[in-house]
Amino acid sequence: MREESMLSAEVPAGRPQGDPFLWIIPLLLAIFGILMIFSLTSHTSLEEYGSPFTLGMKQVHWLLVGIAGMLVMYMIPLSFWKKASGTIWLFSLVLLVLTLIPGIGIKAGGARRWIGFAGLRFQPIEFLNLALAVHLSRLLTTSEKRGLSAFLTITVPVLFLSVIPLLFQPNMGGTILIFTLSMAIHVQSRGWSWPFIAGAAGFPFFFMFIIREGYRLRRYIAFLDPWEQPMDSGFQVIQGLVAFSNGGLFGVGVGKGLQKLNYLPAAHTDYIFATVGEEFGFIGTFFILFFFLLWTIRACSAYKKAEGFRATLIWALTVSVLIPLFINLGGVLKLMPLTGIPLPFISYGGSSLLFMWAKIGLLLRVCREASLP
Amino acid sequence: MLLKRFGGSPWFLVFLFFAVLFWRVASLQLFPDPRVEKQSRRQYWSRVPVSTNRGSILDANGNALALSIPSSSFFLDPAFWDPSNGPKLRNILPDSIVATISSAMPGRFFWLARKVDEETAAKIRTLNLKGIYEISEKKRLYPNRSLLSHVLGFCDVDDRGLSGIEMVWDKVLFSPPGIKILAKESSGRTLDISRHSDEGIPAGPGSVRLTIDSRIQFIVEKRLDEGIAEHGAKWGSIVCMDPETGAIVAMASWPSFDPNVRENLTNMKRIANNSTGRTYEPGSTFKPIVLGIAIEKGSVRGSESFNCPYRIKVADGHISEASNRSYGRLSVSEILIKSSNTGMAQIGLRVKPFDMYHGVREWGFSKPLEVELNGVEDGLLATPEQWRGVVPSNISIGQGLAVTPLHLANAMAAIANGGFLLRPFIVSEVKDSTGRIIYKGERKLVREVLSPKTASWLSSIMKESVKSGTGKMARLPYVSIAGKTGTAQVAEKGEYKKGKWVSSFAGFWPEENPDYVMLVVIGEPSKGKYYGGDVAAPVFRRIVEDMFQTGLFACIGWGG
Repeated sequence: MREESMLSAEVPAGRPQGDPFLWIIPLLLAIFGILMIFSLTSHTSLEEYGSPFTLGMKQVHWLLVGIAGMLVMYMIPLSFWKKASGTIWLFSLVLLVLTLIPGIGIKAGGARRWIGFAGLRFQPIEFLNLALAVHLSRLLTTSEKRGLSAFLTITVPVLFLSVIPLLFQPNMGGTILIFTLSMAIHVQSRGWSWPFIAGAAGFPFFFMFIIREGYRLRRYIAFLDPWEQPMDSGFQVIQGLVAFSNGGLFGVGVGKGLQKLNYLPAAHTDYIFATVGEEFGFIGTFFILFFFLLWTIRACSAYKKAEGFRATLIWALTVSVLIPLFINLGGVLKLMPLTGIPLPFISYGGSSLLFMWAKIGLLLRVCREASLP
Repeated sequence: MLLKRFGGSPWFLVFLFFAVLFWRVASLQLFPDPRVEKQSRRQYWSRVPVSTNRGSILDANGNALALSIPSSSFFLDPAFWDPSNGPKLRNILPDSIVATISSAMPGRFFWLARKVDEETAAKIRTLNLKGIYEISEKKRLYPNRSLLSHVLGFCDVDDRGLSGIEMVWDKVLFSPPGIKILAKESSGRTLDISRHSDEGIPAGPGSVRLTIDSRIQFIVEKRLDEGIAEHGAKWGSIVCMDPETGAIVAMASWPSFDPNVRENLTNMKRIANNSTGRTYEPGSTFKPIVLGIAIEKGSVRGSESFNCPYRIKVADGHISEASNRSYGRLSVSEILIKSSNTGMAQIGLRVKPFDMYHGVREWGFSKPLEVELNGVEDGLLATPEQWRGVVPSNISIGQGLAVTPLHLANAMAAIANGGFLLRPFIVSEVKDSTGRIIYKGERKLVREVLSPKTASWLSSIMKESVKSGTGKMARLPYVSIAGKTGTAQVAEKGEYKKGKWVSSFAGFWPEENPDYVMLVVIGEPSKGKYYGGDVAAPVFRRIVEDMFQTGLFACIGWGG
């Protein structure tokens, strides 16, 4: 795809450019997400804010901010990231630590995952996700180290430092996300062996992590058998399944879903995929998955044209979108325990949307530079 | 290692994850766990069937006799209900329900009160108790209360017809319940999203139009009530028909009931339609039919005369005059005018039992009537093999057989219309939901039971009976009425009881070209008077008067 992009003014004529599908597909998903949010929140928005459109309009604003973020990222040359990735990564860690400090960090639902400034709330994990992807990609591609030494001196320290504040938040979903992302980048750069072993070793650790906290254990038990306590710990899991079941093949119709009537907690955020399943049926969920798959295929083909740092970065950015997708859908579809990770591009929430678009902007920039001589 | 060789690149794993997600989402959406489906069915109270618009029943002029109106129902969700609030509903709801809801309850759904009146609804609403929810559904209303209640019948609380037209035409009138998708929030409030479910309901049910004229029905019921009260009777019935077509224009039964009041509907005595579901011995009102049979069979000529003593012996029994006197020699027509029992017994004896039996059955007695109502009795008539002793002469005077008022009124119509026995009908038109006519009640000839000559001869005798005979109390100066009184004894356990009578009057008017035929039956009067001419004939006359004053038929002058 070498057609005129919206950023043509930035790029000298005749030069190869990024694949427009890489941003068109997320844009379609985000627009669909906004329509869903309007439908899902009209009821609660009306009661809480006096207008049925409040949450939907907020998401529209966040989408515009996100697209602006994408443009900014697209304009920044890769050489900047090569120089500054470490600083940015450390900065993201500082923000993450700030969530733990009372007064700056905002506690919600038993965990400190937010920081607030100027009336805005922000999840630094989203920032870390991007910063770590860039930084680890750079470290691994610039280092000559191989095998265990590369693993132990590059990947593990970056991962370890990133995960510590998350463990204090606490944020199991975020921990899994960062762990998986680090391993995925290492795999692309140095092969499967050590991440595979680390994964196997990390499992008991992960299990301990679950058992330590009551709510996490409940979630885990709810995952194993939600019918044990269908009105209590199993409620959300079951209601998610009910939403899919209600939807069937064609769905119950736009706005006619019943699960959003407070049956399905987080219907417009973490569980938005289930409500799509209810209102649009398998047709709807199939197309969402299909769009993500299509986007992945485009990213994969861009990856194949790139080399070195650029290839690793394309891979890292792609999986930094896909891992939240898999963790979210895995939880909603009861393939794994629930975690509080939103569905990329679609779920309601500003931080996620902004940084997802930032990744798209960087991805487009890498693709553009990758096709340069 | 293994994965590297297998997939060649880490992208392989990503696509594998996608494959798993596609498979999983397809299986969850298309083949859900039965437990999940069960949960879904349970949690919104989604399968709450509520009554929708049941079809209307109209009278001949299109006035609604039964229709559906919006009303409020209340239900309770035990999951949100505090049983200690139960006593607050005392004096609003029945005690049994208050008792039930005052202790812990299982489940998620309990009907508290269905289709309540606005006053009760307002009371429940103002209490504003948690766990009680209101939904609107359609309620059956009979705007004229007890008018025509036996014919219309009634429905159960789910709007299925249980009796009368409501039952017989339930297929047309019934509208499937709307499945209210009642949404409950976790906060316990309801959300009215029934707009969506209403849209799915098909175009609405059909309608049934009756041949009943509710103005005549009103007059008939009012006068029947009066007559019953005046004579302290136990039961009564009036059937009024159009003799030309067989259409039933009024059908009343006493005791009556108001189908809007559910407590009435369990009283079997009240809800029984005496016009079709009760048989009685017709007595002298049956004599014109016997005379008609005798004339048509050639057993008797109109010019003959009979000696009519006070009492004659027939086989093992006696036939005696009701008036306790001897009439001497009477012509055939005088026998009918004076209603001589001994005269009629002699005429009846001229007809062979087998001919009489078939003659009576040819007039439609002891046979199904095919009218569009439920619970229509055939009547009773013993087969000729069982006619021993006094039985044939008893039948000649209308005793020893049982008929429904509708059977007799229908037979009277054949005398009025020149000899044509018609099928009686009460439904004139049935439309389905699309407005297409799917049934039409029409004149249907069953048999010619009289020659026109015999019919007009009988008619003129009956006119004379009103003018100067037993039916004098039915006489009116401005319209010629033909009629016959009846005073029948009531048999109980094979014996005729002393002092138990059924007084009746059957007639039609104007005699020259009858518009209406009507039978008035007053069962077991208890205040002294019991002759049909004294008890039933005045009721008949008052009805004709009222109908005349209402302008329901044109006046044809009469010289008497």
